[in-house]
Amino acid sequence: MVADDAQTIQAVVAGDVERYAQLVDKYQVSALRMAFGLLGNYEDAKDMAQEAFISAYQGLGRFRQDAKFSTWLYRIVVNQCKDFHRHRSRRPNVVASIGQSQGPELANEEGLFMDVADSVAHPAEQLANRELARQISLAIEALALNQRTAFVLHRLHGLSLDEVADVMGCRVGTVKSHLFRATAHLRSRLAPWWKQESV
Amino acid sequence: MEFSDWFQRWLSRHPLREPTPIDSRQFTYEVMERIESLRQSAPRPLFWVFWPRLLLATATAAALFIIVSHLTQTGNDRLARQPPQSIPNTPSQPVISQEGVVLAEDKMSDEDWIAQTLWLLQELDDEDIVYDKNDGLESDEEWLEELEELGEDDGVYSTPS
Repeated sequence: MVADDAQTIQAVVAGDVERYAQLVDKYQVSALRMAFGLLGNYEDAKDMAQEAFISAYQGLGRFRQDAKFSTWLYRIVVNQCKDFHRHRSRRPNVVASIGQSQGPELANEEGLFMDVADSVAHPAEQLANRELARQISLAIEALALNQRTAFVLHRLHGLSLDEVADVMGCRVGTVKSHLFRATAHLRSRLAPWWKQESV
Repeated sequence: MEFSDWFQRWLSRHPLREPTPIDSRQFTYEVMERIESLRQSAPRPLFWVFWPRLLLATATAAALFIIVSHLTQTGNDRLARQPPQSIPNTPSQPVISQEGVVLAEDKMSDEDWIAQTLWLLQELDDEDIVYDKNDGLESDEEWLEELEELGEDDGVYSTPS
């Protein structure tokens, strides 16, 4: 574990609670991005990330000093998002009012990804890129929860397979299985755009 | 191009959305505020968990105390009821309850004992006691003589020499 993280945690456990803000500042972006990748909605991701930090604070006394705080925090974020997702899936679907689109909609209208505007690209091309970003976001949101978790942690956040297994609390083989199924699903769903650009 | 390569290249050009710096400060502030409120409210939950039990235990103890006190008081009242009517011309007057039980024995002379017995009989109003075979009224002296004889025969009462 990073030395300064260990010192900060020791200070917080000793009673210097204000030092915990340093950990929040350091890891909030990655925690928020992870929650956003899992939930697709910024407000929900913000709530879950905050809940994760508070749960981490309450459990600091039980935290093993030989583990990485970031990995431990990500595990809490993932579990919070899983609980939120299960709770949300139990709620009855709201009947759409007349006139609204019945097609798939993003949890966040802007999608998961930033739109890096290419000034050189033709406006039609920019529009196509924007639509592709939207379709990729929809495809990721449509993944099963475990597949989405493995995919977001490994492909979007760059965690190694061992780290993903540690965060998800499963074996590396299970993570590979989730990634394989996720990739197959995305490939089938994004085939029109992928094949078009591959030509 | 393989899908993985294509997708990885696309991701490199389209990173995930991130919060703005202003939002980051607000995020940290909100987290620390909630932690502070948890720390301030931490002792109370322990109290609020235990106070119903404490109240119940106190109420039970108070109820038991009241019951025991009431029972003790009732017993004392029963024992400390109005003193009996005065016994006529008796040198020594033992404490006698309304049930006619002699609670405090004292050394008494034979005459005292006889007088006491007469009083008890009067209190009990025992009309079934037969004083005479002939069922007639007899004087106190005659009745005392018979009582003395009765005591001698049974060995309960001994006449002074």
